[in-house]
This record gives sequence, structure tokens and C-alpha cells, in this order.
Amino acid sequence: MSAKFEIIHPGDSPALKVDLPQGESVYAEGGAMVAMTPAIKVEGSMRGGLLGALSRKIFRGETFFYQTLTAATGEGQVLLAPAPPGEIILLEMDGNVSYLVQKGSFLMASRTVTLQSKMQNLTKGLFSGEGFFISEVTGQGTLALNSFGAVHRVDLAANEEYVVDNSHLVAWTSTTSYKIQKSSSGWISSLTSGEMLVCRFKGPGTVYIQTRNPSAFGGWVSAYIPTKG
Amino acid sequence: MTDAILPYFKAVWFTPDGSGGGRAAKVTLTPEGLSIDTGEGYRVEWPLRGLKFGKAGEEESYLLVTCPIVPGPVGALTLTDQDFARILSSRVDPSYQTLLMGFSAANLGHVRRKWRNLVLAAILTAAAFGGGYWAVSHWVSDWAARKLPLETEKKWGDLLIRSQLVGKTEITEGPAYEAAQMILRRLKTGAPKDLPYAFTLHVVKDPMVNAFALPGGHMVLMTGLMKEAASPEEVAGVLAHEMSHVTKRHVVKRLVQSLGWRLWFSLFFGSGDLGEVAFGMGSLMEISYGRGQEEEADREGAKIMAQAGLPVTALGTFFDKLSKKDGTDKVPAFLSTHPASKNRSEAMKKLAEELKPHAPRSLGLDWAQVRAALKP
Repeated sequence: MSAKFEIIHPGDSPALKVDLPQGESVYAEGGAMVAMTPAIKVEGSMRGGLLGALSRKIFRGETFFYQTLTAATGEGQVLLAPAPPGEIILLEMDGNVSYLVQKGSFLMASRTVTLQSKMQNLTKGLFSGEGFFISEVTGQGTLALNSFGAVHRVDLAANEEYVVDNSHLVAWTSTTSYKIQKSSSGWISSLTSGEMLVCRFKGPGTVYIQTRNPSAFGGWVSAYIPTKG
Repeated sequence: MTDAILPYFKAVWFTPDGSGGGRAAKVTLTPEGLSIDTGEGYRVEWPLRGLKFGKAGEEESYLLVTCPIVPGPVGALTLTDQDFARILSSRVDPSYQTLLMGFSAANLGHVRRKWRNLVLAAILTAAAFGGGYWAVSHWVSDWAARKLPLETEKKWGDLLIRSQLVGKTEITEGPAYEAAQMILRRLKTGAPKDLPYAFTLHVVKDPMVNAFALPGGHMVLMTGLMKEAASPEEVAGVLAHEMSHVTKRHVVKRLVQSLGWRLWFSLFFGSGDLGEVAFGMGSLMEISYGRGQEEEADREGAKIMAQAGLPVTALGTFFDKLSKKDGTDKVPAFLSTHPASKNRSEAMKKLAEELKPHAPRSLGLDWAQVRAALKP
């Protein structure tokens, strides 16, 4: 028997239910545990060692410590949820395709899945909206990602292109490549369209997009927060 | 078909419209072309002459293969296997040869870049830490040397002198020994009265022209230096200089500093071979003083000489002789840790005038006889 994963309460407030046979474990974003059966043992761990943990915290804005959740004393169940409201998706990794994941979108993975920091080049670091470091996920197993809003999947055929606003990315397969470009041909119209810079993807592969933009949402909310008079 | 035993290459298969994303596929090379097990329960055959190649992925680390001459919608394959690219390069349209051969090389280059970046990052981190330490090390060693109790310094000196004398012959009697002790006694009369150090001079049988001081007041004088010196005053000059390294606590500062370096090196390289190298570097650093310290030792040494009724200039002349001999006088002063001899002699002459030394009193030694006693 192997671990079972199920997304419960699908919609904008889902959670991930993980059933673990005795001895099995998964690792999750620090603080993601919502509830669990007593058989589960939670440990903080710095995956990738101190430097890996530091780079994760400093460069990718993720938690310093991952949780390792182990069904220690018998089979167990754990509920996991991310901080932002939005969808959770499960990706089955077969070891052939690896994923690049934007900061903060990682929720959980099997122990056989590896997460590494990957540095982007200067242009992408500055303008992609993903920062200089993104996560590269390799290996075989189950990967759970979270988004802000719903997740929209786009499959690209070989050499097919697709343009995504730079704050709406969740993950993409490593067989796709992307370039940063202005949304319109001129800078003025790029500015006035409200879509300053965009990522132009090229297939083959798959791109996962979130239907809401966290920083735009922040701006929208702040307009409604009463200021102290 | 016997394709079950044919070797295959791992690939990712994409449907013509990309739907479903990439799937694990197996590609077999057949005499006619590629036989693709799409992993979806069906097989696709692509003839060699129709294959088109390109690159895909973030770092162009995937080889993209399509076959547009096949009627109807065509899927695509991505592979990372360099052998696949190499084998195909000789079998397909020659116009793809560069791309296919380049693919294997580029992929290798990718691995090399990764390693190069890792090594660079390690060097930069070590340099940053090392540089940071270097920036504060003088301050730290000064502070530590001030805080170090005299008793500890003496204990270190006692330990170090034992290790320095291992395998060496220490001369404890005879004209050379007597002459050396007499020089030391005279120098002590010129040293500041409240010094907490009882200087001990060890005369060591060694052809090397050298003398050095250790923490706590131990000094080592090699017979090679006595043979090289034209007069006992020249030996006195060198010893006065070395005594000043002790009284000004340069010795202990250097020791603390080199211990600090060892600490950094062992932190970075562990206790492996490189750690050993660092250890060796540390020992080398123990005996080299900074330029400021050398100049200070010259000044203090000159004061001791003047107070003891010895010619101040003797301190300069011997160092001059040595630097002329080994050619270090050609090194510009600002590049060397030791003041260049020309500067040194001039500085000594100036000091001699400033210090208004007591009328020099002879050491009363038959130097020719002392040197003769050192002949083997």
C-alpha cells in the first residue's frame, strides 16, 4: 500500500488529504499542517542542509524549515492547506519531466521528489515576477502545488507559443522555455495597457497559470482598508 | 517484432496539439528510422529522411524531434540522451549534423557550467569570509594579544622552543656560547627596566643565517649568523631587533593571527588534506612580521643598542649585508614586509643621531676567535 492523496473541498478553499501507510512520509511547506491523526510524527527539517534552507528562505521566500510528516506508529492521515485562498493541484511525476515552480507555490511532495533552488538569469530575475530563484522539482512521485485563485492548465505543442502575465505563473515543465518581453510593441502602450511585462512561453510542454495575481489583489484590498484619521 | 530486447532511449512524447502534456515514451532506432512507443498504447514510426530537429527547454537542454512529412497531425519528442543525438548525427540529413553534435557538447557544457558556478560560489564564499576575517584579524589579534596573560605566553614559548629544538644541537658551552650570552647580558642592560620577560638565548648549531624570537622571551640564534657577522655588535643588533619583537608583543600577535587563519581554513576545508596545507601556511606566517612591526622592532632595537652602549648603526649594517646577498634590496620597499635596506640604513643613521647614544663601549670579545671556534 502506498500513500494516497485526495483534494477535499475543491474550489477556493481546498485542503489536501494524505493517507500514509506506516513508515511512509511526505514533506510539506512549513506551517501547512491543518490536522492529523496521532500516528503522524511532524518534524521540522532543513532539506538541502543549512545553505539550501537559507537560500530557500532568502531567495525564494519560502519557509526555512520544511515539515516532514511520517506515519510513525501506524497508518495515519494528515490534512494540509496553503496560506492563500486558491486551488490545489496534484501532479504525478514519472521521472521524465521535471517542473519549475514559482516561489510560494510548493505545498507538498513525496520523499522521492527533489526540490532544488535554480537561479534564473538577470532579465528573468528582475522582470519575470518570480525573482532570481525558482524551484526545480525532479524525481518520481506526487507533487502538490497551490495557487492564488484557480489553476488553469495550458498544454503547448512543439514550438507553440503562449503569453502569460508575469505574476500569474505557478509552474511549467522544463521542456518549455520562456522569454521576458513587453506586452505591446511600444513602452507607452505597454505601460498604459496595465500589462507591463509578460512571459512568452514556447512549447512543447505544460504551463500552469493562476487566475489571480497576488500583488494586484494586495493593491485592490489596500484601497478598502480604512486609514487612521 | 523483437523490439522488447532492442535498446531504447527515454523520451517525452507530446501529442500534435500538446493536449495531456508530456508523457514518458520509449524510442527505438530501427534501420528505417524511429519507432516510438508513445506510452499511450500505440506506436508511431518516423522515417529517418523526414526527421526535423530543434532545441527546447529553458537552457536548450532538450533535443526536440518532429517528423512533418508524416501525413496528418504530427506529435513531438524531447530527449536528453547525448548518445541518441550522436548516433543520429551520422544517419540523418547532413544539415542537422552541427546541431546534433553540438547538442551533446552543449549538454556537456551545461554540466561544466554548473560545476564551474559551484566552484566559483565556493571560492567567493571562502574569500568573503577570509577577507572579512582578514579585515578584522589585526584588530582581533591585537586585542587577543593584550588579553593574553603573560603566564600563558610563557607557557606557549616553553612549548614552542621545545618543538623548535627537536633534532637540533644546542650549544651550551664554549667560546660561541659564552660570547652569545655576553651579548645578551649587555643588551639586557639597555632594555627597559620594567620588562616582564627574562630573555633566554639558545645557540643552535645550524649553518642557516638566522635568529628568531618566540613568545615569552625565548630567542634562537643560529651559528650560521654568528659566522656571517663581521663583529659581535652586528649580532647584538639582530638580537636587539628580535628582543623588541618580544617586548612589543609582535610574536604573540602573529601567533594569535596564524591560529585564527588555521581556524578559518579548518572550518572551510575540514580536517582533510587542504586543512593540512593551511596548517603549514599558518606555521609560515608565524615567523613573518608585518612591515609596521619590523620598523617598530628596528626603532626599539636601536633604543636598546643605544642604552647598552652599542653602535646603533650595527643593527642596519648586518641587515643590509643580508639583503644585498639575497637580492631583496632590489625589491621596492612598499612591496616587501621588511623595510628595504637603503631605507633601513638611512633610518638607522637618523635614529643614531636622534638617540644620542652613550659612548660605545666595546664588548671586549675576540670575534675572530669566536668564529674560529665555530669552524667544524
